[in-house]
Amino acid sequence: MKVFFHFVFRNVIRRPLRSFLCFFIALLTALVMIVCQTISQRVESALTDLEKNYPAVATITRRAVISPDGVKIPSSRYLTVDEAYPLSQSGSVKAWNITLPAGSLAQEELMGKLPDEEFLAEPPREVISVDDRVSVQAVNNLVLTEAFYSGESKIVEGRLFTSEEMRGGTRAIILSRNTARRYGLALGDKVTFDFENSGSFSLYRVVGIYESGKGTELCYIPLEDYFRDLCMLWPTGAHLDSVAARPDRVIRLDFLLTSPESGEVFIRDAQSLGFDLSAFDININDGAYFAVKDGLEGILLLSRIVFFSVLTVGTVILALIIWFFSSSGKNERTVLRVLGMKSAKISAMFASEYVLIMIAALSAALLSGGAVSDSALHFVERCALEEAVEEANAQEDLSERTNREIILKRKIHLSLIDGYEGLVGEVHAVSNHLEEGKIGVRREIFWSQSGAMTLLGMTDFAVDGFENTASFERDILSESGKLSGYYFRCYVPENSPYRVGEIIPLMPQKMGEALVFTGDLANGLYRGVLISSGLVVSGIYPPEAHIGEEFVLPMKELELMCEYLSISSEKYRSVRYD
Amino acid sequence: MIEVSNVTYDYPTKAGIVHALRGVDLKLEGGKLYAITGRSGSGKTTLLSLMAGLDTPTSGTVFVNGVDLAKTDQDRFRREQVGMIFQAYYLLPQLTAAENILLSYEIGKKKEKPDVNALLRAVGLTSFHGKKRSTQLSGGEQQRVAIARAIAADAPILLADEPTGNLDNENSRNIIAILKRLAHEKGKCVVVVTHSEEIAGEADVRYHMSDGRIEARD
Ligand SMILES: Nc1ncnc2c1ncn2[C@@H]1O[C@H](COP(=O)(O)OP(=O)(O)O)[C@@H](O)[C@H]1O
Ligand SMILES: [Mg+2]
Repeated sequence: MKVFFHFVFRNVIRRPLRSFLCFFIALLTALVMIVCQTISQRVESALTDLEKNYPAVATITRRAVISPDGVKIPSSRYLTVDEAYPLSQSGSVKAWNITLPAGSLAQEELMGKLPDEEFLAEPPREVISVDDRVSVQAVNNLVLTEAFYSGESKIVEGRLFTSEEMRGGTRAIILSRNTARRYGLALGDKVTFDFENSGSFSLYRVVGIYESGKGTELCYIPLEDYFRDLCMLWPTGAHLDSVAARPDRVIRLDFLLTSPESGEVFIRDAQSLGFDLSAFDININDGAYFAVKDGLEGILLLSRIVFFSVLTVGTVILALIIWFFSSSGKNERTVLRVLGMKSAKISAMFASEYVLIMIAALSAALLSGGAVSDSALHFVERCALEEAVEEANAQEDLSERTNREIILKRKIHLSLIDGYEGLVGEVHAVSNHLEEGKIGVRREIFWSQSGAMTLLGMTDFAVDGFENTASFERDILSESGKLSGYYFRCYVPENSPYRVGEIIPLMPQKMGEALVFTGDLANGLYRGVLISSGLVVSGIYPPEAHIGEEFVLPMKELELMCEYLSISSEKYRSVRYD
Repeated sequence: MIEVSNVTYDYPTKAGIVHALRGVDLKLEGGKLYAITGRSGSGKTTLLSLMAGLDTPTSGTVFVNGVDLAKTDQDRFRREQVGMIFQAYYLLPQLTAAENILLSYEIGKKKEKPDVNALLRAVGLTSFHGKKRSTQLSGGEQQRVAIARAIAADAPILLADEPTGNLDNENSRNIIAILKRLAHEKGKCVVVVTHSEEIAGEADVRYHMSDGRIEARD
């Protein structure tokens, strides 16, 4: 064995030309292969990284008509939340954001700073008028708003909304730095909104302050709170129109897709869900993604081609070198054979010489591979990727954004060395069904003998002024022994004419958009109504800031009631299952 | 010692089979110097390589000490019994002359390390030549190194293929003297293929080959 390696080493050293050629070619081949492999790996991981983290958003906006003189006129038809819900249930949707009009709070609305004390039943004495520079936008995914998505707005103090806050009830608000400065507001301060001087107000706590490149002064609140406060605070009956119209004037819907590859699935889902594509545009901002992906795949293909060509060419050259030098090995073989060496051993020896050279070349390649790959990566990045990314970003030219009815855009920052810089911030996942125990409200307008009244179903009674009526059972069928049918218990406001134990008869009839129940059988207006039902007053609640003048009953009761009276929930947008 | 019995050897070539040996019978003993003469292409080199166990005959048998060479461990036979000088020297170019001479020792053919300088001197070279690569040596010098390498093995059978082809008279005589001494004093069986009448004249036994056959013994 010693002799064997002695011979092998000696031959390798004593034939420098052959050894060097072999070493050089093998090293070169191995190096190029390592570099290509590294590039392929990086590109592959960049591709997965990009696919996993690229925030592809499908935006639904009103379809606009371009007038002959080139003016874009958005259709007067607004999206409604009803139209949006089915889409949010598409498997291709990870989260979504609804943008309600920024000016949805009226100009005269007030905003003021409160001392950090107990909730007051009275409006604050010192109120600061909200000037026309400040408006409120309700969002369910702040990160998916145009300003935050594009990176134009960034949180500078505090934080984004937490998932907890997004579920509503904690009333958090995020202000722009300018607004905060102007009103002397800091993190943790409480502000109030007075909605249309209704006398009801809500306290919001500042949890974050952002800075906007464009100097926007929007205040953001969680959509849940918007619904909860606005729906609850809004006077009933008379404001039926405004209640119905406001949350339904959805300017845009942004659906964060599970992957930029699932755009087609989303559109197919939208179609199969009966989404009216003639009235709305669906835009998906995956153009930049595909542009960059194309670039990456080009690099990947090229590096694979180079890998295999170099492997082939290197192998051929090495084979040629070995063949060329093998002629001189013939004599050596004869000499060694005469000296009694076994033929197999001689062959092994000759092979070992090349193996040794290859091992040396491979080791050298592996040792230097990291550094060489690094510079190669930089080179590829500079020469190929940067251009692709630039092109993709140019395609998504941020400066072109003139109105908010276009797709969300965000500059891509992708590096083979540092990876993909994803969307930072918390994007709240969508749960398509309301979580057990979380508050949700459903509003139905009914008519009783005395006029219109609003029934408010609530999933959770853990709200000031109510006892938890989870034990409230629907056990009052024929309770009175006088009326047959289903009866449902409710709380009535203090100022209503009803007293505890009283039965409010209801009968279903349609009138316009609202479902009308009436017990007014006397005038014979609603003949033929056979089903009788009613509400049993089980409690009276005091005037409360949170609730207007609704008749409150547990959500399950309201749902049963609607089912019993064949009121389809599709028809009535009153559910806010997020 | 060596008995070649009715041996033929064919080289299959593209142009057809070359009958290099067409039935050779020989009987060689230790302690004698044999000379084989013959024209180029008559089969001398082929015969030597068969006797060295580098090849096996197409037909017929080579017996060594009464044993069929084809049926024994030929590697071992060569290691233990044969020293060979090639017509084209076959020095390994990557090694120095001294290293070439030491090859047999390195491979384990010989137990004690041979005295390289003594061997070099014996073939008319100096230690100065020993340090050189074969490519830096003249044809004659290379031939003498090849002889020294074969002698270094100290094998009982020594086969020399035109060992003096490139040597001047003096050196030729010197080499022949060495070979003769090896045969007569050390009892080796020495076979020399040669063109030289002078060398052939020194041999104990002469053979002449022609067209793959031993023609005459004189
Ligand atoms: N490797 C070979 N392949 C084919 N033919 C060969 C080979 N070696 C020798 N020969 C042929 O065999 C014959 C005998 O060759 P050789 O033994 O070398 O003769 P000599 O040594 O007497 O010149 C010649 O005709 C030669 O051409
Ligand atoms: Mg010959």
